[in-house]
Amino acid sequence: MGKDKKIYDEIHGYILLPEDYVKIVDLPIFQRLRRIKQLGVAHYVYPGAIHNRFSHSLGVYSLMSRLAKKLSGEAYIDKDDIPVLELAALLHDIGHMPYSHAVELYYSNFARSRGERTFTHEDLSYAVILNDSDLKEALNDIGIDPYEVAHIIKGNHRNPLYNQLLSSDLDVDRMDYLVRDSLHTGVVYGAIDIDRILETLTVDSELRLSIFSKGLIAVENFYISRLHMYRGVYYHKTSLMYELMVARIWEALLDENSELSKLRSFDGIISLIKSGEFRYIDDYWVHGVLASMIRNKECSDYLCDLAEMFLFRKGYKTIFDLTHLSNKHVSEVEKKFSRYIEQLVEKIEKENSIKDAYRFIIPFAESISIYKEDEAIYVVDQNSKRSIEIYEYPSSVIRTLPKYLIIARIYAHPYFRSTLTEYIDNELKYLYSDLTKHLD
Amino acid sequence: MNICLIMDLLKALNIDVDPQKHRDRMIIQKVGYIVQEMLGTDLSYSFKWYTYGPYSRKLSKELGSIELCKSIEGKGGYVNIDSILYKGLKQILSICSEINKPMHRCLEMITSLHMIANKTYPKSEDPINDLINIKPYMDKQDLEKIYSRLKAMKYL
Repeated sequence: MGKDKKIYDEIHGYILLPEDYVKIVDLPIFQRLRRIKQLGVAHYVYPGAIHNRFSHSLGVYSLMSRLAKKLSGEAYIDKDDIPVLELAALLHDIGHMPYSHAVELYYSNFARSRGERTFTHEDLSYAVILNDSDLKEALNDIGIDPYEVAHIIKGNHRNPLYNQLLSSDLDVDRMDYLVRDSLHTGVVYGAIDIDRILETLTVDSELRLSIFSKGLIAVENFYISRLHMYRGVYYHKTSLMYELMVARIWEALLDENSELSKLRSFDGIISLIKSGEFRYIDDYWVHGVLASMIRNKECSDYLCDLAEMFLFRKGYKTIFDLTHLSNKHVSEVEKKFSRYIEQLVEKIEKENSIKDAYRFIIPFAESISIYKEDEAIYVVDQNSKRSIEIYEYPSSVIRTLPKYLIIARIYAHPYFRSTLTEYIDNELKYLYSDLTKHLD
Repeated sequence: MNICLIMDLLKALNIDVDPQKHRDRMIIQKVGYIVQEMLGTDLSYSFKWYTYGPYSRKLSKELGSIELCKSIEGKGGYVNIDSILYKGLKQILSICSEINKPMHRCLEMITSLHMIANKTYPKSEDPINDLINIKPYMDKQDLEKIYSRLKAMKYL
């Protein structure tokens, strides 16, 4: 207990870090998480949303520790495996890029069209654990197999329950971020009863993560709160627009700045992890690079314009917004929407004699699962002892929820907004009714 | 969308699936795993080791857009029944005719055995017993039969 540390967390109170874990937290690669905001650019809408991946990682560790000890006491988890689960929770976001999911959008969506491999922050966390020599050594020193930690994060640990605890529809990661994001944004609808959920979580006869029926209300509230957070925070029209802008800025930055070429690919990033440079890649670093490029006029008009708009919060404006709850997936809507965008771009280019009209608009269309049927938690009925998926459980509110939140938006460059709105205003009204025809 | 290739393969093999049903979604997931991880056709899915064996979140998401695959139908699809992919899948699925279990359960056993033997960590030295420890509802004799057939086909 000598050099154990207690860290006060705004959500979970005092979090006890054993001395061995303090050594991990003190490493530069972990301290980097203090400089990556949890919600990327949401502080442009909610000024208080400046919390970071560091506190979230501690929170996820704290929840995993409680849950693993509880399930170990019920003989579902081997006691010796508790540390590896705790460390997987602590390190699950260690590979997050600056601005969290905003830059990740580039690697998960744009990279493919540029002939690069797509990857997620879980892939990067896996890579950091196995390629940052200090971290790998620190884990080995305390008798933890880095590969085991990395495989839980990637979802390929031999025990599927371990993978579910960290990544499923109801996992310790989500439990922490919903409450933390709710507190820091002030969007109170995100609040959930973590204690009740942890207390009633269990494992059913087929070794699936489940909840006793007495915890049903707490889990229902979790799903409903998440839906509110999707609408109020994660897909907020302004916040989402700045995220999409950051993804574009990142793309242009990598194109124009040859010194950043290693950030273009997964292998390049691994080389930065190995050389120790990755620990400096954070939100502040991006700001510095952008400010320097603008001041020294080292960026194209396009990138300098985007960067200025981003740094001084003068972003694109919403000219079309369809937000709908539906049981139907967005596929037909998406298809029509992208066809419309293609026509719109063509029209803008023709009527204004310009090229690359895509630079003046940012389209977005997605259907977000309110619950994932294939990952949904099971409810163990206390009378019959049977377990049933929550969305089929007779007294569950989740049965009545629609499956998808559908969002289709068009954002326009502020310079172009009035022109654009003027000549497509009627078309947008038609687009709205045309798209909603496909929804129930 | 790569989901369309999976749907085309299932159609060519006369396996009807309804994505609204859990068991049929399992079949689609497992066929996706076989195509990518056992037959080597990259579909850009990342399979996690989940409740019922290999599971890809991306594939699950694409299932919602399955109706878009219909535009491919009627054009002969893009499954060539002489292709290595079709023949390989047919060969692996033939194991299920020897197992007296529903298709989704048989595919769960085939893909779970392959994944636990090759893709999960810590590495399994005894895939059959490790799998039974995780999934006690599986039948040991079935798993032994599948194991020997997959071994003979050089997938293990």
